[in-house]
Amino acid sequence: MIRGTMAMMDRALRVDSRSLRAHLIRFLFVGMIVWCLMLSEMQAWGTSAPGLDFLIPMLMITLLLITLGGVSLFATAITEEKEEMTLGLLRMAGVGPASLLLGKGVTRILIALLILAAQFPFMLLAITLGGVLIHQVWAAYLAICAYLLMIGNAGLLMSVICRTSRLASFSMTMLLLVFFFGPWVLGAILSAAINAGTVAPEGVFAVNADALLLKVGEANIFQRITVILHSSFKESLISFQVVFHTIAALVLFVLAWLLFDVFNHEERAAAAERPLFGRRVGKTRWIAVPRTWRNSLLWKDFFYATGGWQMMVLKVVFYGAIIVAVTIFIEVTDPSPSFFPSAETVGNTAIWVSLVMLFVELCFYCSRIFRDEIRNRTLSSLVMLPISIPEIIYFKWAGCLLATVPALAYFFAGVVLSPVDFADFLQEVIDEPWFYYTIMQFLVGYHLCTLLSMFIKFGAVALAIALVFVGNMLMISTAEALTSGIGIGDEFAVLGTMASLVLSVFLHLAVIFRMQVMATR
Amino acid sequence: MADIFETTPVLDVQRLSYSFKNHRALVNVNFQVQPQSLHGFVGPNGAGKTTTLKIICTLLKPQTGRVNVFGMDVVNDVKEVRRRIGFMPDHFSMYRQMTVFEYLDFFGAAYGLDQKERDRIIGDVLALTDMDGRKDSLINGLSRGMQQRVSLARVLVNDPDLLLLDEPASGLDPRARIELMEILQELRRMGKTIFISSHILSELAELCDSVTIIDRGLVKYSGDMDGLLVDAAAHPTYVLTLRERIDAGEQLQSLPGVLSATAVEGKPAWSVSFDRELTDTNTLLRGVLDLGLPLASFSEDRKHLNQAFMDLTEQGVRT
Repeated sequence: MIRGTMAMMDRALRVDSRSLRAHLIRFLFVGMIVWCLMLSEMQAWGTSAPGLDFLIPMLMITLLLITLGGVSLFATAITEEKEEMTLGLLRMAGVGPASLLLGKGVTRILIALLILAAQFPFMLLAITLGGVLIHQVWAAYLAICAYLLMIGNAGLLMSVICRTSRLASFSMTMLLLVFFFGPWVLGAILSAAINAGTVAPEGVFAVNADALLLKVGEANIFQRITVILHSSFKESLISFQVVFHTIAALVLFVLAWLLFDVFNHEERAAAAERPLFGRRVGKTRWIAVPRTWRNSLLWKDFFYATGGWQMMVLKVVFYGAIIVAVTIFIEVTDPSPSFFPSAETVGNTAIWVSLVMLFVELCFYCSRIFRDEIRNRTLSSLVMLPISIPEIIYFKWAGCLLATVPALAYFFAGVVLSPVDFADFLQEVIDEPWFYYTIMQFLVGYHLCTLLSMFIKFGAVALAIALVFVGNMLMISTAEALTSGIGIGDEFAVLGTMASLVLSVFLHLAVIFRMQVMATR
Repeated sequence: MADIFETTPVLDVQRLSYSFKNHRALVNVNFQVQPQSLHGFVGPNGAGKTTTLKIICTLLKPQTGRVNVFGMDVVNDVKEVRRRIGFMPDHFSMYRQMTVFEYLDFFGAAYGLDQKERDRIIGDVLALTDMDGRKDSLINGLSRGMQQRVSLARVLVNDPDLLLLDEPASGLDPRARIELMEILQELRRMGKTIFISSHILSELAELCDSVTIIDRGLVKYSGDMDGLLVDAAAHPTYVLTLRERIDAGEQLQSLPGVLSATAVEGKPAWSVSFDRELTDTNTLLRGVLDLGLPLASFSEDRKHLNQAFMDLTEQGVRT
């Protein structure tokens, strides 16, 4: 076992050390820290705790990257072997579950820990800037390391259980949502129940449930970091959060180990799945993919990249259920709850839920628009068609956009139900340059995600979100530093919108160029 | 006027060169392919076959020289060239989650065919490739040989005049190879021009009218198959099959110009090689008949092609 594990770890570390891309990411990461350090130094005159001002965004970025890593990098550690059909070969070579988990998953966690280790000396400079004690930096990093261990192993468990990277990433996202928002939702419901008199405020259930939720809240990394960064922080380095996350990491790893053989006893071709479709023969004929449309590229992406009519029906049900659940939650937690929610409440909920779902769907489609072609090596066949490459891309995109009809339908239903609120919102943002700037960030992000998916197998969405978020944060911080703390106004938003438009055009052309290059390989 | 069209080559490659950074993949490549012929494009691994094919099928642009397909330039008339050619790459390039029919229907529609036309053409190509019984099978579940047939069917969907096939037989078992070659012969009979690359010359010997041999980016030979044997082998070899086992070695060796006569193992046959400067095939055959041997057949030893290929190409791996 040790030989197999060491061989895999050795290989993973060698690949990482030889990869120019990995070094570039580390270099950019360190460069970002140095840049932020310089900005904090420039702004030091206007703040009482420049060290703290430097440390807070750095820690938040690190947490964001770890969380996104959990959804992408860690959750695909084993699924990528399943999708490449190499898991069986590794097992035949005598590599057991423990070796695979240690070699594939733990190595990724180790690499992430190494990045944290490289980051740490720079973070100590926050103490020199002032406003932060070394005890706080140590406590923050210990908390982050424990969080990384837990997220890494949770991702590993998902990659063991799920058959595809897509499913593993989705499951991990759901898990994180439950972890971060679950206690808050339950707390709100408990309060509502107490207010309504359903639960006695001093009763055993309410007291115990409240205590439990409070303890679970303590395990939240963001809450822990907030506590650590408080000026009066004097707690022990080993907090409940550190212990909870470390034990959870161990339990998740052992679970992944025990469940490995249960979920991976046979190798299946994940690449060739068509779970929702039947063929045009036999019992599943009624859910078969229809004949190719006149625009075959649009047809192909609508049915094979997004799931077609079948997935649309599921989305209508799923989005509807979310809207109903959120509306009920709003009503239940309202100080004066009503059995029949108002049209405005339903409408506003539908608008926001559909916008979130639209965002998620578009992220997903951007990352998968070329996935089939890359995996099946069909790009050369596509570009040989007597249509231009941009046309191919636009038709494929049209197929994906068609699949967003359920989200758009709920959005417009929301507008119809709550026209006054929506009109007020529009009136408020229509003259606001930052509104257009935000929209442009989405456009840049989607283009970036599409381009990244042509370079990396997994994690394009996470990387694109991280890059857009960090890029924006750096841009705004830089603008604030350069304007000597006066603050950034609408001029910056206009400039930023224009720059984002140029960047989107550049990324758009890069996608076309990349497709041409890949087709000739 | 008709003569001009008939003699215009389907494919005309002139002074074609292509480099990848410091690596020269093609150096001044020249060859032509005549209409309705089956042209072999042979070379060892890394010779530049795939690069040439990619340029012909418009995936790469030539750096120097020109390539004309049906008289159209592959750089300036991309769309028209693409309409008239069908390219089958050296790897399986298929949407494996589709059924055979969906896959062909998808490409048919992409080429702008209406549903009726697609139905007719898909039916035809499935019949030609003997895949009509598997049209509702998932591509992923098909054997390698069947997937290759589906690839070929896809290439035929837009009814191209020129088929460009990059090592179509690689990885196939002997039966699948033979069946594929039979399909190609049928396609030639249907009037298609076929340009087929391979790294095994003898595989194409029975099939091709003409051949181009390329090695390290340089064309070593381009012309008909017989010419290859004349150029490459001054000492051709023929196989004489007799009706019964006779020890005819000494008799055959005594014929003028014969260099060697060796018995073919397990068969009543002799492999005779001769010096082309001292004799020719007809004189040799007359001499054999004069000896009174019970001759059943007299044919060229195609294994000799391998020697010709070895003579033309260089030893070792391209660096």
